[in-house]
Amino acid sequence: MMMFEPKRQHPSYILIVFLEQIKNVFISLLILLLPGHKSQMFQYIFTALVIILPVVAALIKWYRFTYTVTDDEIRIKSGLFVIENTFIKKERIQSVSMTEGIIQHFFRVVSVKIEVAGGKKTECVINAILKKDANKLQKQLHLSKKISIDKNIDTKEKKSEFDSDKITSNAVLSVSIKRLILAGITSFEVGIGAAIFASIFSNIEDLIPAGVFRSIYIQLQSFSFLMFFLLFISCLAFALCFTTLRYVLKFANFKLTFSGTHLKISRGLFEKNEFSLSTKRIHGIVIQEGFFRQLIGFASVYVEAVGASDTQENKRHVIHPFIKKKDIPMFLHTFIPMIDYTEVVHSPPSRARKGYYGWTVIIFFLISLLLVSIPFIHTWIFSILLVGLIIGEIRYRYAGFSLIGRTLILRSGLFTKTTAIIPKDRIQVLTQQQSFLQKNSKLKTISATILSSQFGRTYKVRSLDELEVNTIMNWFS
Amino acid sequence: MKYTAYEIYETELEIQTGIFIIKRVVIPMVRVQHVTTEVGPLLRKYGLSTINISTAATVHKIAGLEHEIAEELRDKIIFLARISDDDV
Repeated sequence: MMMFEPKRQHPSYILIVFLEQIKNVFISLLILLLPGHKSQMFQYIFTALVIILPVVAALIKWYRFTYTVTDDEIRIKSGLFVIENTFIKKERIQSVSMTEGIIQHFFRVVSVKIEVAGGKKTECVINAILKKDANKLQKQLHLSKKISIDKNIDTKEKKSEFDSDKITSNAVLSVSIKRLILAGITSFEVGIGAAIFASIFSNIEDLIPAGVFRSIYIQLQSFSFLMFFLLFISCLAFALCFTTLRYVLKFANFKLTFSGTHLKISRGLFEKNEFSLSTKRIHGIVIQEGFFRQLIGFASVYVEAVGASDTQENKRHVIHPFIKKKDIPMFLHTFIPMIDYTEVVHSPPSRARKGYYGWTVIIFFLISLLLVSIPFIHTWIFSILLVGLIIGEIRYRYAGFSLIGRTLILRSGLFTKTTAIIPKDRIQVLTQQQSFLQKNSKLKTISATILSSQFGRTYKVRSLDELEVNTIMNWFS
Repeated sequence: MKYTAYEIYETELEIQTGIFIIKRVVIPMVRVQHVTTEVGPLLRKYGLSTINISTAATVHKIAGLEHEIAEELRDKIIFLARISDDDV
């Protein structure tokens, strides 16, 4: 059927390492070589070492690294002194992702990462492999999974997955650039942008002569409040443009494909990223509505899966960066049909308001008590209690749950409304909690833990009706 | 009413803890990865041990069980967990 011969990575790996090394040390080398007075010899040797050593290392690594794809596993052999053999069973593979950097793009190669559950680091990375080979590899890895499902067909757990197997139609989705720009603006990464600018400015400080700095300072002192305000606003606007650009670059060419058994996400303009995930490996779907996105009725949709993932997006995988809220049911139905979805229908009873208001109001009350003792501040400070009330009310309004078929849907949040859609057979642990205060008013808190990228993630809804929580517990057990 | 309690069923394990805030956890047997028992010097003096039940995502503790009961419970959980096998 298949030849099990070990394969090497594409030879361009060495060249890529060489170019990347030059890119990395270029500036420091420039600084070292430019003055060029003392001991020229040493400098040249140093330069040669810095560039040659990694390339030699890469050469050895390339020579010793082989991978073999057999019927049911992938074997990797690597290492010079310590020889490492890694065997990964295909049915244990959680996800396969492909990344393509700018340099790699010229050689038409990609790096393939194969994720398994549990490992802190990625177990298996093939750094350079021709793109068409990578696609073939991906198909091979997926193919055997289908066979293994067919084998286990009589076990009743796998039955539902088989049904989804029969759906052969491919569903494809892409997002227009206009929407991406809007998504970038509303992504509210202004905080991150500001941090980047701060780090740039702290470096610039060393480069600018002290005289210039002092004159700027004097200039600043002569500014009026309005000028400061304008400065602040323009900084913010600049940061916003910057983060939007970053967002658009990251999600440009976003494409989501559903092929019956697998979801494939590809995105990125300069650095292309392709991620493919078996629908069996989806541990949960999360819909997040950020503060600004809520105002215009949009949301983003993520999936929770095991393995290394997008650290910027809270370690989830984005499957739709920007979707109209009313399109969500349709979207989920076409792309992830095996997980039921419905709107959140059950809210906490109105007697639960007490619980939601409680802590925030008490905290704000204490703050205002502290502040009122400061001179010039009068009793009007107690009006910030209103803020506490509003926060409590928002949290109360957002909380809710739904139970449909084999899916539990939990919703909560403060500024960002988070809806988690959790299939029953993916819940690790279900917990109910009742404090003595909640007991008096017959309320209970429910939380469900599912697996996320490395650890578990818990979704929680506070102060639901006791009877409803009991229903959920009974549904689960 | 006992404040710390556990109940073991064929397919799941239920643990209740807390005095003011009463917490009940349901762990499906399929999700149990491993079970450890643990005895400190003080607990050993009284012939007690603690049992930790790990899932892929969380660890749950039942403290202050008698040695024999803890070991019995551990073996039982492992036995039941082995019957229901699943990945992750």
